[in-house]
Amino acid sequence: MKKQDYLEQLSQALPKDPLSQRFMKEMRDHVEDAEEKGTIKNSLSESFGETMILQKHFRNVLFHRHLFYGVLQTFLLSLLSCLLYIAAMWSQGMFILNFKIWDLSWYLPAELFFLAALFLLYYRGLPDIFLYAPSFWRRLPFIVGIFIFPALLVYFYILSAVKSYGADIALMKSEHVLLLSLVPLAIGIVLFSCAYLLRHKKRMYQNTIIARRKIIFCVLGTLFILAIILARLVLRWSLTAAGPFEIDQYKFLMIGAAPFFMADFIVMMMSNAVFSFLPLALRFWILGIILVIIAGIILLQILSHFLYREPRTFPLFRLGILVYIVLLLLVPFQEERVESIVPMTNISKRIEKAQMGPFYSMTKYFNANEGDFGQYTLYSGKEAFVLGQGRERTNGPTYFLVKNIQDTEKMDIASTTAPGPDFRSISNEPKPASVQCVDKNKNFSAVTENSCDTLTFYGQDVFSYLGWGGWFQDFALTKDEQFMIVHISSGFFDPGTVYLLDLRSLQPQP
Amino acid sequence: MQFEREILKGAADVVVLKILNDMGESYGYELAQAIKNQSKEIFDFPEGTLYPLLYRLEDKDLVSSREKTMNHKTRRYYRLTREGLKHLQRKTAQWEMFMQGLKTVLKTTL
Repeated sequence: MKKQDYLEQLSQALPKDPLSQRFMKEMRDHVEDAEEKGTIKNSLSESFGETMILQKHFRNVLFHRHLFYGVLQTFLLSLLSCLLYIAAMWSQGMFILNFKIWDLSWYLPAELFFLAALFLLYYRGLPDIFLYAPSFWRRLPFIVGIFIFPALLVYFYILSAVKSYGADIALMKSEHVLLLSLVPLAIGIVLFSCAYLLRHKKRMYQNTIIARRKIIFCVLGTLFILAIILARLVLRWSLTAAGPFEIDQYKFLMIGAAPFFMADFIVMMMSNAVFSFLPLALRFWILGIILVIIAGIILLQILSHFLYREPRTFPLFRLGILVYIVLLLLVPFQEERVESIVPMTNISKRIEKAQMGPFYSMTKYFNANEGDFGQYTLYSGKEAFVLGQGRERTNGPTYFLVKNIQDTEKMDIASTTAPGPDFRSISNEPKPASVQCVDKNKNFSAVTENSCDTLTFYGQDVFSYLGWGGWFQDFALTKDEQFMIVHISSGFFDPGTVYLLDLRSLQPQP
Repeated sequence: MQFEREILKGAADVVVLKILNDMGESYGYELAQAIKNQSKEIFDFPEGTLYPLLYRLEDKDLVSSREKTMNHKTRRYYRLTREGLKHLQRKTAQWEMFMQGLKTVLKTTL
């Protein structure tokens, strides 16, 4: 093969990138020098390498370059978009709405941050990384990643908008959901095609960044320090001055009161991202399986690093992804923080565990904001209770009879038909005089008349709700006042929790 | 001589860094010839693969490069960075230990 043909073939095999041009120039000079000095062997390929081999080595370099900066850009741009969004929310709260940062609207920025991150990861990083990846196995996680964003989009905005029912394990098998999971696939293909067409523009931008990498680190560090200083200043201001940050009796800038503003912010963002992701992994079970496979591949890669490579090249980035995926799949459900001085039993948990088995934790997250699944209506009988568990709105509740309540070990919970005349709905009843709902800790997130955090029985604190964002939906006593049932709601569209309290040790002395 | 990929993978960085350190500053062709000569043609790999390796070392900040005109020809010259020198010293120590162990094992007859 002639020199020109060899170089032409190599040039065509390389991706269009400024580094390719540099490589080609150096190769041309190299071949010329070798020709001049007469050091070429039998063929050009033997001396300088097969085109395919050179292409593979070169793509590997590009892959690593773009991987780091793709993710870095994603992080910076996502952070910026999130800060802008929060600023918009704050100004909205200051001038328009009675907005509190700690209510549900706080989750919205975090959720949007997550979506923005995925969006930018998709557009800024993934397609190029995918194109430069030297092997199929390196491409695979990015192929999967490409479809995650549209899948999330469908989950949050399309599926949430059209569904009017609760969801349980059986739904995952329904054709309706399976069909919906095809939608993100189609969107993914369209988006990927668009990104492919725009790849050249993107590369030019990215290579400018590569040339200024040290500046980026300086800017990033400075921004981070400035953000912390700003957060501290805002904190001081909001604590010392009754300014626009204080709208009502609660401090408007509650998040600013935390000593580690940024750390809190990131932790909340990450946890919210995990919790938001979990329903997706469950609903689109194919994605769940893919995530497990990715986790397996990453784990193997990390193991191979442990076995064969030096610690300096330890794949922290991959480890981060692995930890995230593991968290995603294994994150335990955090139950309400409650405190009782008498024996208590979480009845709703017993029922749901029997229904969901090992999927209990996941389905709790799965059912968050999902309508009335897992919400309970309570009926009180002589020595028993009936719980009506909300399921799909069209089908009505499923009833569970709770009897043998005297002994928590032998307590019997069984499904039943609608409660008979022996049972009365406690939501329509006046509250018993012996139980008072008192406000001890100013649980400001509570929104109903039961916006207290402690229940007293004959003046003694028996049961406290220590979390935030929930309230006592209902509470009732058996006729003999030996047992109390308490229903905690954590949101209008969230599953509730039902506790049974044994008050026998607190009976008033005659 | 053709080596298996896994063996070459760990050694190639050190070889390039060591030769660059000895030469002070060098361009691709000169560097490739120096590697071949100094290793007595044991490290005779396809010369084109040297450049992706140099780019990788550059990305790790172990090597820096600049364009320089010598004898009316503009070429890209590579040299070791401070980080590259530290890396080389660390790697050299590791390789010396490794080779010592390997030699001992290979010479031992049970």
